[in-house]
Amino acid sequence: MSRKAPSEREIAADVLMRAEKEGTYPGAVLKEVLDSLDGREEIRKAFIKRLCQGTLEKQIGLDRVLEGYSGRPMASQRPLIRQVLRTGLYQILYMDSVPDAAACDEAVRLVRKRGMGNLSGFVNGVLRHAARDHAAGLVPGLEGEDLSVRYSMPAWIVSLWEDQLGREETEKLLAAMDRIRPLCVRLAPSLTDRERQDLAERLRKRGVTVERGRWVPDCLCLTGAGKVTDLPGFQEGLWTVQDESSMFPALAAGLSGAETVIDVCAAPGGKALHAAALVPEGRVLAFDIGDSKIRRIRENAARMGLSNLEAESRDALVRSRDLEARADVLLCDLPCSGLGILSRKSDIRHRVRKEDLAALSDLQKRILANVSAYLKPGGVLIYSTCTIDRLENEENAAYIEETLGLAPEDLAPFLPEGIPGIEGNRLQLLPHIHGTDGFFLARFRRPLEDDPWISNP
Amino acid sequence: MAIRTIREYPDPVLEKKAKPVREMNERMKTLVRDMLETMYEAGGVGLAAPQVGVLKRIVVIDVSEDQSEPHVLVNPVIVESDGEQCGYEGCLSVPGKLGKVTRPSHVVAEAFDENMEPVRLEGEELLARAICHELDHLDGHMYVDLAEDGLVDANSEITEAEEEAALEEMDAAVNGEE
Repeated sequence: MSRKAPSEREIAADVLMRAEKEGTYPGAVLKEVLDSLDGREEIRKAFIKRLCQGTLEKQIGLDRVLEGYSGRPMASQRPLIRQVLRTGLYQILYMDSVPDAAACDEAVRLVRKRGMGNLSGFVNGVLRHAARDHAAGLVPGLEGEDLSVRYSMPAWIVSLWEDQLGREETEKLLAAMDRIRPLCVRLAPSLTDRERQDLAERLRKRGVTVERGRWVPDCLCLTGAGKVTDLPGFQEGLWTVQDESSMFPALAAGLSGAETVIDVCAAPGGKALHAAALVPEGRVLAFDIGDSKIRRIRENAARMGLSNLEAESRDALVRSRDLEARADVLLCDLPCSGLGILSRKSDIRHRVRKEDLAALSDLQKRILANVSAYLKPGGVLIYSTCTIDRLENEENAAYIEETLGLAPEDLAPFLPEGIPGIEGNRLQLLPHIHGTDGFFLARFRRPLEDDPWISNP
Repeated sequence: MAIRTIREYPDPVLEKKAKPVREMNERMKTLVRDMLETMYEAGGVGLAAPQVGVLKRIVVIDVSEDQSEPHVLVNPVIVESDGEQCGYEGCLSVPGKLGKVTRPSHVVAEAFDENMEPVRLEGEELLARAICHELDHLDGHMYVDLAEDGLVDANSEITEAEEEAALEEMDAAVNGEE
């Protein structure tokens, strides 16, 4: 006898089970599985994706609730049962269009199909109980005081932010991170007003909701966009995907049009492309490690018609002699913990560990110490990360100033007016205040007098 | 060990009655091992000897998730069955198809294992279904004759209306709530 073809819910449970078992990046497993489902309707794949990502995002809260009903730790459940309960409860609590009964029935059917019929009563009991309480507004555990449970955020991240921002701000931040963010795109700066209106019109005709960015005039926020590469204007190079927050570094550099810009960790290329568009008479040298990353940057540059961008594979930890004192502007958007983009990458929160922060902060310092030699005397360095973590942000801004000897320069003259939270040369963008991803940037200038350290290896 | 070729419907060997095993010799033991390997390789939960072209009363079954609970049944008979379950099943000899079949929800089979020791296998739900399905093969019966509404493609085991409703539900879940 053969097995039945797996349902979407079964596939989702399998993806989560495999990612958990292998300890791999769930996004990678999900992509592999979705790619293998050739021929299945897009909507089915989208459902699998939403169920996997949503369940991961809410996992901590879901587990707490499930443990309340089952009376046993989730770790002690069999792997399949664990994922069936999580995905089942996710549908009940967060997918309003899925009837609770359907979520329960499908879970039970799946458990039976996989030869664990003896546990189908247990699964049915837990999920039906939760569905009943949810309908009555009584699901325990999710509305309580514990921010970690309510927002399904690892406790150490919650206390990190409580230390930095205070409880009240942290709660607002968590609530903002919980909302699904629109897709931000950056328009080519050369587009005329007329071309911008035409593009917005074409996007709306495709059923995409188009809004202007909150701060950056070239930014559009799209909702309901579907597959990016199929959208109007993408292939023609009228725009590229980039969060509004990550448009700040190139703006903060105050480019006038003929500078040499070096981006030391450029992939996937958003900031380098932005800079290239702003220096039509200058050039951008974009570096990262790995041929596929470099290829992607080149493809994007070609699509956007930017012939002044050169991409090459180089390690930011290794000094390139030929780059010393070459940059008018040095963009240092460095590898970081990514705590600012948790609403986009649902699995980061379960992958980053507290001890990673110190290691990343140290890595950032080593990169900064190496690449700051690429600045011309009088050149500008923009340091940025997509995280909310003092160790990686403020501490390294202090390091650039105190240890590397660069002078802080006020950000305000270079950024759109009215942005709250600028502290001299630094700005921490926060989702609940700025409506962007969480993002940090700081501006510095290398003093004009010759520095003796530049010749040291 | 070797993967054997699975005979596909309407191969006439699938309609013949299989003969009891008298002695568990090396040839039979190899057959059992090959049947398990063939079933696992095909992603099945059960396989009967006639499906690999051997008219002997042997079936192998494993409904576990991780291929960890193989059952070998030699000269099996169902000694108890009760209850009822109605659901879709498929067959490795009818690839890509499913049919709705009513089976008992609980069965007990008595048989011999690969060492000719007597065994008793009790199953519910999927295991009960698999026992019935495989034992039918030994008498030349195929589930296609029992399927209540004919066969459907494995990827669409539900009706068009149900399919439509499921798609709408998924669409709303993905697009309607953002």
